[in-house]
Amino acid sequence: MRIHPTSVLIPLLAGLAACGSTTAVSGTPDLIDVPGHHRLVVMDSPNWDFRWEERDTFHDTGLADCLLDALDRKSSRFTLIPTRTFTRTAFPDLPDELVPTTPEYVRIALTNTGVQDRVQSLNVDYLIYVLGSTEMEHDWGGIMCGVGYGGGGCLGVAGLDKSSNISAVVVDVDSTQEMTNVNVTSSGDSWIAVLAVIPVWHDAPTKDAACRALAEKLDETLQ
Amino acid sequence: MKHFNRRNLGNCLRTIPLACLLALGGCMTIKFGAMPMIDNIDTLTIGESTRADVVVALGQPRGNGMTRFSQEPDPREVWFYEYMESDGQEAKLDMLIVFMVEDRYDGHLWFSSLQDFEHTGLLSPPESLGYFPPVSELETGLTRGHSSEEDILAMLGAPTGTGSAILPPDHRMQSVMYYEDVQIDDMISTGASEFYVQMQQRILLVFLEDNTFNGFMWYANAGVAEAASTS
Repeated sequence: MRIHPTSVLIPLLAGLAACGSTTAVSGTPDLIDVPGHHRLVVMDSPNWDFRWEERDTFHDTGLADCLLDALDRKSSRFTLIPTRTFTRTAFPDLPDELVPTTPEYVRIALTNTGVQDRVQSLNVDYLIYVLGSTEMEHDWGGIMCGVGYGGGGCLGVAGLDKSSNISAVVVDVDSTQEMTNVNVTSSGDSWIAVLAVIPVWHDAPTKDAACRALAEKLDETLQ
Repeated sequence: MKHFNRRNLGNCLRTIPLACLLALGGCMTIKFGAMPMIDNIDTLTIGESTRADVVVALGQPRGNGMTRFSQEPDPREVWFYEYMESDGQEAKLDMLIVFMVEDRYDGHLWFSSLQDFEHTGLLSPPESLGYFPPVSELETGLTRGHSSEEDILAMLGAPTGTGSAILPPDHRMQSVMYYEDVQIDDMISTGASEFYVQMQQRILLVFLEDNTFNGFMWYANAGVAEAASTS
């Protein structure tokens, strides 16, 4: 009896499609016990933890938007001030590329009375800086390709372990102190399959899952 | 188990898009860093302006470090600002280094260049652009406090840029002659028209006080720049 490859691959793909993401929250962030409604600014921080030995790590982009969206869905206790409104108000004379984007330098800038006055006009309570990266590791399977006189093609299925790690630092505007640091990791299974020349894939949404977990943790932390 | 990130993924895909781009004769622009706000240096006062004043005037540095000058008992913190732009034919570089001591502004060094690579073909890594003088002969070929600007030009050739410096501990104004070369080691496609360019850079700064040789600094570094093609 001849078994067509698709009769094996299609049920396998259906099974793989059911694979989900798991999320782990590491560390125990300090609670910020100031009840009430908080006005937040969320910013991407591309390089606050730059280390030479990790210079090849590419940080995810768009994490601030991802977290803003998740916070907006999670809680109505927060007023989310657009990042650009904050940066243009606090640093009107600096081009976007030179605006402080790390907790270290924004804390330095906040000790300047001019910056303090401009930030107070927005009534911002906390600045949240986010940084993260997504990595994948080959887990199982493989894809083979061949070429002959009659044509060529590829066949196979490969699985990837994918994980997204996001950290958030919360800076109190009034005291200029770093209040807490939250770290979340989300992992999931991605796969790619090739039938003849047609690729099919599933990309585990680990970044979105990590953003949701981070929003949940910040909601708990900012009491 | 193979471990990879987005760069490795891009590495697997680099060959075909890059070859197509170059074959079509598209030129490429590379931008790296942020243009230092040189004009705002005049708003800072040595020994008075704070770290916050520097951040407000110049923005967040791209990097930092430490330095120790002779005759000085304490090391100084260094803040580093840089902007580089190249279209494959010309390269513009602006670099600013700010010295801080005890949380106060203590001087700076900046230099700027517009270098014509005179490179009409397409980049093909590894390839070197620009000119780097024989730095091994600096100590023997030039005499501090004696060699003139003409002596420097005769030995090292014409610089590709200029700048100025107010360095601790004496804080006297010095002019700067600047030399540079760049080697492109690799290009990695990250999309249809975007690349990471792995490159090495060598820089020589020659300091002059009252048009007389007063010292030098050279260094080499390697890094990755983002590039985007334009038709």
